[in-house]
Amino acid sequence: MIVTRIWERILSVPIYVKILGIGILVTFLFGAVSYYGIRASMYRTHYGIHAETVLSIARSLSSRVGKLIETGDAAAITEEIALVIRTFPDVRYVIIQGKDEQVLGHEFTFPTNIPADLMLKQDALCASCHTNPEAGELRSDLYAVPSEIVVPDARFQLWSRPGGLILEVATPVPSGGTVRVGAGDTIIQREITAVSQSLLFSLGVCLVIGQTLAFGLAYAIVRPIQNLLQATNRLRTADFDTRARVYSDDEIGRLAQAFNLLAGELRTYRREVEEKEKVRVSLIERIVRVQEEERKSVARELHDQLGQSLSSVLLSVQGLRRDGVLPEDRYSRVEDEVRGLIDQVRRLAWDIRPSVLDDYGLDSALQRFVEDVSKRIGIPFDYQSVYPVELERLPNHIEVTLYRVAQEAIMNIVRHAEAHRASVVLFRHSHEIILIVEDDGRGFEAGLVFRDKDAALGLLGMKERVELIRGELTIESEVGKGSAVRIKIPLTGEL
Amino acid sequence: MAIRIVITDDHAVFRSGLRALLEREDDFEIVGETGSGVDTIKLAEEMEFDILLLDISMPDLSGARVAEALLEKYPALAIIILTMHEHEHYLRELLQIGARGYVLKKSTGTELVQAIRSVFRGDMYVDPSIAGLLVSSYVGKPASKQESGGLQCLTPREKEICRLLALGFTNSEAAEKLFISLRTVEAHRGNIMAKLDLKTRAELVRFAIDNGLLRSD
Ligand SMILES: Nc1ncnc2c1ncn2[C@@H]1O[C@H](COP(=O)(O)OP(=O)(O)OP(=O)(O)O)[C@@H](O)[C@H]1O
Ligand SMILES: [Mg+2]
Repeated sequence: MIVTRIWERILSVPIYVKILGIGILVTFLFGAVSYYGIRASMYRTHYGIHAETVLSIARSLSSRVGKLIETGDAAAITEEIALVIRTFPDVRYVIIQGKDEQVLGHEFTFPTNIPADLMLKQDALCASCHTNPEAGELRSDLYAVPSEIVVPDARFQLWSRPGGLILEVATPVPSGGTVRVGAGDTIIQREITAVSQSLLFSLGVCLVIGQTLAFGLAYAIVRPIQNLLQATNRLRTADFDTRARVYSDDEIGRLAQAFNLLAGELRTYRREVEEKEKVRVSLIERIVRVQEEERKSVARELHDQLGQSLSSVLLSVQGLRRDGVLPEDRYSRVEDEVRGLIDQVRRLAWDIRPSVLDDYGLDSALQRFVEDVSKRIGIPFDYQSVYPVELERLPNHIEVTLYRVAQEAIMNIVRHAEAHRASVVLFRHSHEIILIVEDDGRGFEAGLVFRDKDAALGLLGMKERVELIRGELTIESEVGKGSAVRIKIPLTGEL
Repeated sequence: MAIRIVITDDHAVFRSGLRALLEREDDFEIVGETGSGVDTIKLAEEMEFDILLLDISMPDLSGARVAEALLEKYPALAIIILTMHEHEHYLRELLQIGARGYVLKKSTGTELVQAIRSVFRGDMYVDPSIAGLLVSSYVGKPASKQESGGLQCLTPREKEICRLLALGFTNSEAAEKLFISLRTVEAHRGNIMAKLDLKTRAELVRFAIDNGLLRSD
């Protein structure tokens, strides 16, 4: 779990950081390994040479002091020791011991330190030459480093002190006694430091060059990707003319080419869809127009032809009644029946398409429709319009659309809402017209209803018709909170 | 002296039935009969008559336009509309134009005869079955309720919301415009309706109109 999360974290780091990070990491690892390897091998070889040098110094001294030990010439011994120390600046101390390990001569370039094995015998040792040794002088700073090499005729021993390592070589004097030469490693240290520094410097130079190259690489990789990303985002905003730049012919370049092909295809596809949509819209538009024209002519026919004929019949019956062939009440019955027929025809024509809509406009027709429904259903429907008479009448197709959509919305209230009250409001502004049909009924989730396209054919049809005249239909409803359908149609430009 | 009558109706059978009916009256004389408004206007130039029985729905020129044209030239002409339209808009418009009678085609012959007589005398005649429409349309809508405090009882925020709703904003649009939540708008709306004792948006709009809330834009 945690591992995957950390892994994800690492993977979500920008490509720049990834590439530069790998560069830095590799350089550092390589640098560190080679740095320590080189240092270790340098130490090994230098110390080997160092040990041999010190050994040969000790041997030559021991060959020279054999006789002096036998004669017990302390002054000459001291002279020999001083000569060695003067000649070899790295020699830190020389001690010459006799057969019984007693110190015959010694000199230290650092006065206070004494090898630990001599500490035990320090009283005798120091008394031999220091008249009044102070306690502080006798403290030992030399620690044995646990490495001791024994060559048949010599003994190597390492001491450590704050100034650095001391290598002590002890060689026997053939005639008895020991010569011990302690040498510091300042020169080695200096050498190794110099080499290390130049190593570090070249490592730094490599790092800078490497990072610059890595940065360049990262840029070369990231830039086309970013370009592609931007192009993709433009494509998402339906800018199908957008093209990604192809920087190179590598994988990323081919990706960009594929993207461009895709954008081109999308564009064609989109155009096809648009064409189809255009056809669909004009088809719907035609269907709606034809339907309305048909309704209008059927309503006219009913009202003006059938209605008129019935009126003529009524007149004839009235004429016959004057002639009085049949009993009076028979005429009345026929007359009433014909009147009933006339009413039916009138209502039918009205339902198909109210003549008021064409003759007096939307406001009148809607008001009338709302009143009718209100009376018929028993739900109090309130109608209010803000409809300045001085504004010229709306184009017929807008009026018809609004009337039909309002009818649908009102019928939905009647059929589904279980409302106590409902209202229809019509606003006529100079630049737009707004129709709101509201109820306080049980409400519905418009989103859910629209998802099931078959169940919402009424609402979809309303939307479709409103969009045909470039309007918008908004439904605001929640279960339990009533519903509001608002239609807004802009009146700017050609209609 | 007989009452001279002209009948204008695009429906020939109806015209002849009508003529037959009216000619039974001794003092009526049908002096002309046309099938279109244009013909009637031409006829009026040629001869004088007292009463024009005029249909509304006719193919070339509607009854209203014919009446307008004739009354402009012959203000004294008595026009009786004889129609199938039972809606107050037609009735109101034609009375406004200056028609003196309005009779439905489905009414009895005696009613039409009576209408012709009273219009000829100088009275108005409106078919009793639709005269009620005229009255109700004059009485009109009840004024918005004033007794419950009016504008003063609204907070400025409520007033603003009231105005937006009366301008046709949806609740969520009002919320967006005022940078408040939909729930807040709904709550405000509930308060406004309760305070003003309004039941529907239509009433709210009426209230806003009556109180001048819509004027400022
Ligand atoms: N005012 C309303 N109150 C409550 N529910 C409604 C309202 N209007 C619509 N609905 C819900 O939305 C659904 C879809 O309505 P729509 O008008 O699209 O179809 P319909 O009325 O069922 O059928 P038709 O196609 O005959 O209109 C309805 O079935 C109803 O559940
Ligand atoms: Mg429906």
